[in-house]
Amino acid sequence: MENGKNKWLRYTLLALCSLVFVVPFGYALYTSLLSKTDIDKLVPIYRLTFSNYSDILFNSEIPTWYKNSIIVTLGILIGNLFINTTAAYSLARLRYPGKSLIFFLIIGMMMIPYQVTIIPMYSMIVKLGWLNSYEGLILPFLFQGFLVFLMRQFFLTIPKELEEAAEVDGVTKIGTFFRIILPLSKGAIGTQIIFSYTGTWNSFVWPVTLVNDSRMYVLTVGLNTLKNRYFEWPNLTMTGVILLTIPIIIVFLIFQRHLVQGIATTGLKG
Amino acid sequence: MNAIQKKKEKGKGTRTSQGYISLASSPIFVGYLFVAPIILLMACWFYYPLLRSFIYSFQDINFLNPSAARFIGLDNYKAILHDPDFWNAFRNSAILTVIAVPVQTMLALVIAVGLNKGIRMKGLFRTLYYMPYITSTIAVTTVFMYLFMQKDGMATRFFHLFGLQDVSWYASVTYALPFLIILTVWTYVGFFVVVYLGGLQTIPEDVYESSKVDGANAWQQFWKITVPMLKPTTFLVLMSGIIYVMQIFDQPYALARNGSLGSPAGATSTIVVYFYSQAFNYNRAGYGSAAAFIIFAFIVIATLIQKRFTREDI
Repeated sequence: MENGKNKWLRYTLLALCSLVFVVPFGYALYTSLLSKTDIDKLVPIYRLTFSNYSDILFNSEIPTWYKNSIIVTLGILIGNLFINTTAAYSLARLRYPGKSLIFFLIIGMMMIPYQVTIIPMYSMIVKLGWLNSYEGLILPFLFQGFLVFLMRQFFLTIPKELEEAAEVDGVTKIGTFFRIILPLSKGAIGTQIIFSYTGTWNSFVWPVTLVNDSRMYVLTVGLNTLKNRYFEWPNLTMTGVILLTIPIIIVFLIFQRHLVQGIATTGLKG
Repeated sequence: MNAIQKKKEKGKGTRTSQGYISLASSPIFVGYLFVAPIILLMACWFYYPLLRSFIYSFQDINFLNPSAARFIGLDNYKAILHDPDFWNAFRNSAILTVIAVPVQTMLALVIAVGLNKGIRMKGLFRTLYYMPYITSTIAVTTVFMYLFMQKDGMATRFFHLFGLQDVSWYASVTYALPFLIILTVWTYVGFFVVVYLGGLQTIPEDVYESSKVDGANAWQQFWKITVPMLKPTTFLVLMSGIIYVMQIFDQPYALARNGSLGSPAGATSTIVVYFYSQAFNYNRAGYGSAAAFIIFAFIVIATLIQKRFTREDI
């Protein structure tokens, strides 16, 4: 077996690596707790303050941006769970003409970069009058090829006998899906939640293109303007960074088990 | 219920509860029902725009006055390939890809192997490494800008010890691209560590056991067993690494602050930044679409080249 010295070396190296990953987060958290006069100084704990947080929460538009981010993220998440999951089940388990073409079209979306669709999508939004609207931020993203693929891979692993038994008992296909398959799919749905949630919460290109009214900003776009406006005040911008990051970290900690499984079963996020 | 009964019911135009059940049991009906939403959405928000964009790319068309569109053949493509700004962006993206992708792949492999066996708190380490990937790119870029700021930035001070200049990296023509590379590697390494950890689970333990009997040391095991057996994982890591890095946009957007995209002086202009500023800052829908298809072509080419390389060696 490995000797003790080697093991310590490994721990030390891993810890050093983690330091590189942790320091930026630590810096952001620490700076967000500094008062204006203490910026860029090392101060004892009793000098730290939450005043930046109350400042930002009461005197900036962050609460509105929070609300927008939550509405958009939830809207897309619910749509994704429903649309991707039913489509995946259909592709994995039901037989009908044209299925392989549909599968090909869904998988094809994974290989194509967003740049080749975003320009006409923007024109469509303008025509529909959906600039600065939830519709514009939510509707084009209710489905995701990669997540259909992920769910399909999972459904293929469920033994067919379960569905055959259900059929013998006279359960319909729709009933089988909702009452037998879905309860078995909690893990895969957890994976889908974390991918869809983090992707939407952090998305930037589409909201920054579509929204120019600050009341409709999502948090990422809001933080970017906050940073540009208050760049001289790292304590304020770092407070914004922490407020943007905390919800992601909480959800990640809850669902991370599923994420690791998801990466293992599908290979990768495309 | 048999087919004749079904037909009868259809013929009468009535829908008894039996009729619903027969529909709900039909794989064809339920199959189409379940894919109908995605087909509709995909047609509206993906394949129609894709086709539209392809048509735009042969047109002189402006967002401000779309009705004045006219076909100009390949002129957009030709103009892009003659635009020095495009080649500057291409150069930046190429440097970014050629440096960041191998570095992050090697780091991820080494960390994953180090983390794989006999380490307590494996889950904690994994979480720490993974956090950058799930954090908003805007948040990460903002933090890194302060870390790499002149005089007070921690990272600037650290690198200054090794003789690098004391400048705000993101605002320096020389240092902005290295800044972007560091930012990229930091963001993606942890994600690929998790991917490699998944790959390592697929290597059976007895392969290592028997090699140990044959007298192989850890170094030989790494090169003769781990690396070759992880080839499929490495292929995925490289391929998605290339796609991610070629798509970089948020970071240069954020670090430009109120300046023009690609600041300072085009030093952080990537191909996607070039695409975006043509399309949405200059409102050139046709020209932008052509740029988008050129990016698409690059990704396809990069994937093919890379496929060939991983097939042959390692």
